[in-house]
Amino acid sequence: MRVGIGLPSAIPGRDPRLLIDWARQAEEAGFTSLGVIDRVTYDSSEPLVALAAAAAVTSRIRLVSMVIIGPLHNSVLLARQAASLDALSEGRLTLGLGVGARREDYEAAGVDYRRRGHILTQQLARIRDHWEDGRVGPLPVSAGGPDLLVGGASPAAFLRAARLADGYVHGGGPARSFAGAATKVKAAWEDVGRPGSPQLWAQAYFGLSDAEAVNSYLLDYYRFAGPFAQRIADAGLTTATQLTNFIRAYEEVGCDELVLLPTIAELSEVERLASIVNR
Amino acid sequence: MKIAVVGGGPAGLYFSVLMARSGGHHVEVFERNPPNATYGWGVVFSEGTLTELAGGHGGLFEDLDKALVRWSTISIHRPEDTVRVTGQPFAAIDRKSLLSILGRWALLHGISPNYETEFQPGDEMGFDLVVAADGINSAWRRRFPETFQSEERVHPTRYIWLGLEQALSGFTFVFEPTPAGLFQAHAYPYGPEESTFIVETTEEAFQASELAGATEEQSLRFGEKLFANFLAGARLRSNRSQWLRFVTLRSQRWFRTEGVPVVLVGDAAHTAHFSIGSGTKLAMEDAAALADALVSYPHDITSALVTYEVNRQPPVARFQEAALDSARYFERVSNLMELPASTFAFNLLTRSGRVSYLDVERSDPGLVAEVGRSASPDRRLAVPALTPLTLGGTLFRTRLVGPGGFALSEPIAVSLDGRRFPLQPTKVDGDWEGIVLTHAGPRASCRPPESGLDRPLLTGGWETIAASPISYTALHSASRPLTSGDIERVIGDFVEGARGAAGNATLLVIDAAQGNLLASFISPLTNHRDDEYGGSIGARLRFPLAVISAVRDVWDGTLAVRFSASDFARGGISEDDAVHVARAFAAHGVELVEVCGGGAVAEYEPPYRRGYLLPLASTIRLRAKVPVLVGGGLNTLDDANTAVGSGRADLVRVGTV
Ligand SMILES: Cc1cc2nc3c(=O)[nH]c(=O)nc-3n(C[C@H](O)[C@H](O)[C@H](O)COP(=O)(O)OP(=O)(O)OC[C@H]3O[C@@H](n4cnc5c(N)ncnc54)[C@H](O)[C@@H]3O)c2cc1C
Repeated sequence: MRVGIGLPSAIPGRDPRLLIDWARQAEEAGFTSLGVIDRVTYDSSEPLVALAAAAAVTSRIRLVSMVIIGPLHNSVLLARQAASLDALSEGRLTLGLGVGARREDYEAAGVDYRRRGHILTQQLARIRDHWEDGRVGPLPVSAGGPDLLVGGASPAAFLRAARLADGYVHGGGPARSFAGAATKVKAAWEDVGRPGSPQLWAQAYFGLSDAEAVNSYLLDYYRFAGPFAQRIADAGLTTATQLTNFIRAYEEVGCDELVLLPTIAELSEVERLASIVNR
Repeated sequence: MKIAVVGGGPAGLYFSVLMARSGGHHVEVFERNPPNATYGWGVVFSEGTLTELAGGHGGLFEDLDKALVRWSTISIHRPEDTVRVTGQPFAAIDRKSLLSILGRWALLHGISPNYETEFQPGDEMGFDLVVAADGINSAWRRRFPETFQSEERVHPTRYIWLGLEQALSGFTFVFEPTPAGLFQAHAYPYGPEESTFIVETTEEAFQASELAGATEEQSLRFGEKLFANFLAGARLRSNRSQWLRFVTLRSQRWFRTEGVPVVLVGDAAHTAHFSIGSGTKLAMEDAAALADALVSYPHDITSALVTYEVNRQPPVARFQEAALDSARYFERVSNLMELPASTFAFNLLTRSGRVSYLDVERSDPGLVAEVGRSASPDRRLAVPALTPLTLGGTLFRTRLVGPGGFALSEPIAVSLDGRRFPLQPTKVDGDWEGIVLTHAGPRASCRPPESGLDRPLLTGGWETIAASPISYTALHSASRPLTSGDIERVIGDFVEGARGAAGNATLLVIDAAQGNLLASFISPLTNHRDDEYGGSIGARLRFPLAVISAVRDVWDGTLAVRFSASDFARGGISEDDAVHVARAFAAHGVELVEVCGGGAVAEYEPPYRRGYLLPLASTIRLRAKVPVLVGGGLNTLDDANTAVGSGRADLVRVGTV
């Protein structure tokens, strides 16, 4: 299993330029990918812009969105942006798309929340078309375009992943819940007769220098989850032992790449995490 | 903290005992009925639950332990055979004894329930938390529908809860066919001279037996007469017993924190069909988890309630899923009556997907050996999925199809316009044991599947044809409906395809699944024709059957057809129609049916999980009496052994990933 690290692009109060040094260090430390999350109604950097900045100062590390809330975007422009970034990074982009979980993001962007699943399904096909047809420039450098991942937990999401994406990105939780989702993704792949096998990605939050800061960030970020925010905050990985056990558990259930998302906007977090992961 | 517990059932009392023992909080229990007013018979506990109860409260468990009846067999009776399955440890207790033990321990911890006292919404003033343990008809749950977002599903079968004046030797299922339909009893001992005896049947059999207006006495006599052979003179008892329909209740949320917080436990939050006997177990586990959470967060009710819900939702959801599978099994068990005794027993044990071949092998190796013999053509000792099977001229060395088993080709298009994508082969190429022939119909003219399915070609595409002028996705243009000329030509193309396959393989599979050309005629979602090829299922089948007959005439080998037995979408093909389709195939010389699902439309809701197509496959195999191949989240030899050993499928497509 490969281990990646998230960019500090959605932590309020950060120095917006921190992610540049962060990206450089992450690559040096041997992480295999840099991840970004998407949330419109929150103090966070636009995910593809953040990845573009990271692309400029790195050369090997993969750049992954997990996930961009696709239906909020115009498909042509999203395809164009992703293709540009893919070219700029010499084929290092993996584009994860999902429907997201927050109605306010749809209200802010003026998109009908009830049509989100249907929009995403169409969008996946359209984006691929643009990448292959070249009518909308530029062409991505990756053959056929960057790999696509789909997130979500409904039957429709698994079907969507199998029909139109290259893999699945899990939304977080214990390894057991990841394993359950992976079984469904594989069943979907087999069901629709899609060749090959799905890439399986996962994510979790970490913060090593200050457990209290991890807690208060996650409580704030997940305020929309109401009383359940505390539960999500409690699952943040704050010690070496927790991280090691978590990584091992995910490895055992067949995860291809686990991306650890930051909760503290301090550069030292990269090194701290690396020293645990590389042990 | 002052806690009001509504309901003196297993959930309310056990919670109160645990809470009172931990001290700190003040607990008051309200029960609308007088003490010992409860009725009902025995409740079942598994070994796992008992271990948990022992860990929860040692003293209470000791009392319980003394009152438990334990057994380790399941007996399965049909008119002509009886199978005893060993290695199934369970225990049961009289519901009255359970409640009186719980009540005694409540008193020992200083709680005396307020009996004959209603506690309704509006009575919560002065309390910091309301624990709604008020059963399935919970007034507290109903008071806040937008918070709890509950959903009730009424099951189609009828059941009546009776007692038997005799201790059975273990869990017992009795199946009694009658001219009106099949009845089954679910029975188990719970005291020195008593057993629970639940009788269940389908709505049709219930009506045909004229039980609709039956009095308690009439139902009792009916049961005694029906099960006379099994009862051998023993009497049944009733206690306000009536014929009911089970209701499965699910709730999205189990608590609210606005105003005085309210939390649901036990039947107030969820129910699980009685055929896996776990309502009381779940209620008591809820109670323990809630007490635990409140002890862990003595000053933070919200965190306690979140912890409780997060810990309990997943196991309860798993149980409910298994219970639904089990309920579904009993709705359709009359289909299984022709299975050999050991296969029938093994099928019953594996009904809820929680028990597999390996599990049964551990608990009762003798049964598994018999199951293997039944699957084996010469009744040799064998592993079910590794036994050979001959269908027509084709020998399947094992029951596995796909990697490591019987080699089936990728779909080969019968004509250029039937290709899904330009490089799809139209000629047999390579070494296969079976060859699949397809015409992609409305799904033709797309880009290669490596980069996603159903993406029409930008250039170099061709006109697609289908039953009706529908676009497969918003990116497709509408297909052209087949003319009578097209119909003749496509029949000819399939015949040519079959001729081309001759000599290359012994099995030919015709693809009528997943929205491809023949499938577009079968599904009511995609066939809107008003000529002789549209309308009733008979008419929608006319064209696929014409293809099959024409191929049958020229193909000497074994003939198979794959089709989508469910569209997994509203308005899709019904189960009865799917059985009709399989029967019609068999009547036209088809020797094997592959059961698939979905694909008629691009967006559907497939219930993906391990073996999600098995119930459909089983229904078709047994009702249409045709050998069945099925896949769907079946990846291990254990999965295949369970599917084949239980008679749900003849052949299993093992996962490609
Ligand atoms: C046919 C059948 C067979 C079953 N077999 C089994 C089995 O084998 N094993 C098993 O574990 N379970 C079995 N069950 C399920 C079991 O009966 C319930 O799941 C279990 O009793 C739930 O416990 P509870 O405490 O949540 O609710 P209940 O036992 O329903 O208790 C609720 C209590 O609340 C009281 N109450 C309600 N409203 C108020 C109010 N407003 N004020 C005051 N008091 C109130 C009621 O009088 C009642 O005493 C079976 C059920 C059925 C229908």
